[in-house]
Amino acid sequence: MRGVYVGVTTHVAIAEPTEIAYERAYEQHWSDVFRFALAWTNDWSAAEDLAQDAYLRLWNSRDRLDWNRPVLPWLLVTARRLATDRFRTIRRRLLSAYHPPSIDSDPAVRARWLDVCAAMADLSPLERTALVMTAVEGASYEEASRVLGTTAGALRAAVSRARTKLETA
Amino acid sequence: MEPTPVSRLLEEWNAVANKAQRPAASPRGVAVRTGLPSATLAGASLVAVALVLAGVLLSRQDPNNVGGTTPPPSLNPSAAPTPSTAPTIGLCGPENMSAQITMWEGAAGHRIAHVELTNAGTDPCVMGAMAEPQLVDGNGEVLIDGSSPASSPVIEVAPGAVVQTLVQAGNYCGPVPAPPVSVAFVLSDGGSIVADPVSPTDATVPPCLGASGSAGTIEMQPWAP
Repeated sequence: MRGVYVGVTTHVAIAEPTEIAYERAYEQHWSDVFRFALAWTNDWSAAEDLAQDAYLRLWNSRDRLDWNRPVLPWLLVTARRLATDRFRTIRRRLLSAYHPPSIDSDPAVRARWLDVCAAMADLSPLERTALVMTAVEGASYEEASRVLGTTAGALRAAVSRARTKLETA
Repeated sequence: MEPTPVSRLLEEWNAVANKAQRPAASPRGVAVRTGLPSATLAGASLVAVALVLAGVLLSRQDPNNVGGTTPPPSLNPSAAPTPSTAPTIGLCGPENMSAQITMWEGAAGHRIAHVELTNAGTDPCVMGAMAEPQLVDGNGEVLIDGSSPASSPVIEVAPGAVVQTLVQAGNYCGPVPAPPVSVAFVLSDGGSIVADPVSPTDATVPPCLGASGSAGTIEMQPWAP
């Protein structure tokens, strides 16, 4: 299987300013980080929030990172760690009434998302993200397990549970 | 071959997710989690900073007001650039701290978590040496809620520095928790740092020693190098 999370890297020359490397990472991987966060949270606005926070942390760490290494795994692990802040959930609920997510601007897309969101809601964050990473993004079990902080075996089990839940829903 | 319902759902997920629009401006700047004016901190000695922060730490806010006065980055993606001639020290928070339970050990009906906290940012930050510890499950439910400290010394955590603590939990008499079980630290401003669990399937809880439904206990030692 194609190893997208290893294959898609940000190749930046050592001498290149980190600010430029950061901007490249933002352009190249924002969508990947958002999609990962969306799979984990099943919440559009929370995923946007998490993606921004992950990049903020990347910005704050830019001078310490080895930019010759793939930056996407770092971003995804950071997003996952940030997502475990349980207060983010509460804050999201509080803010959602006043700041509708950007998907609201397109009623058709919003309607489609609500259907998908409802179908995926019965899965745990790990099950949902494991399924999306392996079945949609094309990541290997080993790659996905490293990002999700688990073992390849546990990830296979999570994917299997996710499929079973969706098939029997 | 007819696609399965799961395949169709994932295709739909992919199609909708592709509609996401990347904000035009990349987020920059250090997320400051308090309403402390930077001018108050600029040029001040660490002692003065600690005195100011001690006041903040002692005046615990409403936990529901976790958003604080600083809007989240997604609502303010074009935050001011970082460079500043005056040194500022922000509060440590989930934006720049990474916690990890390194092991659990059992002792006389209790479970003790060894937790490491790392400043993953590039700037030093300060935090209370004590916080309100919580045992939380994989769904974010609080299994055991500790008490918030009446007062706490302030410690400074340098970039890359690691501080450690032990969290002792006892008498969990609730339902079977959703894994992974972890430990959270509620900070003085209402935000919290949740430690990464030992494993994604970890369901460590202390044994129930009292009546069903009786309250559990959880306490932490001060963060220390």
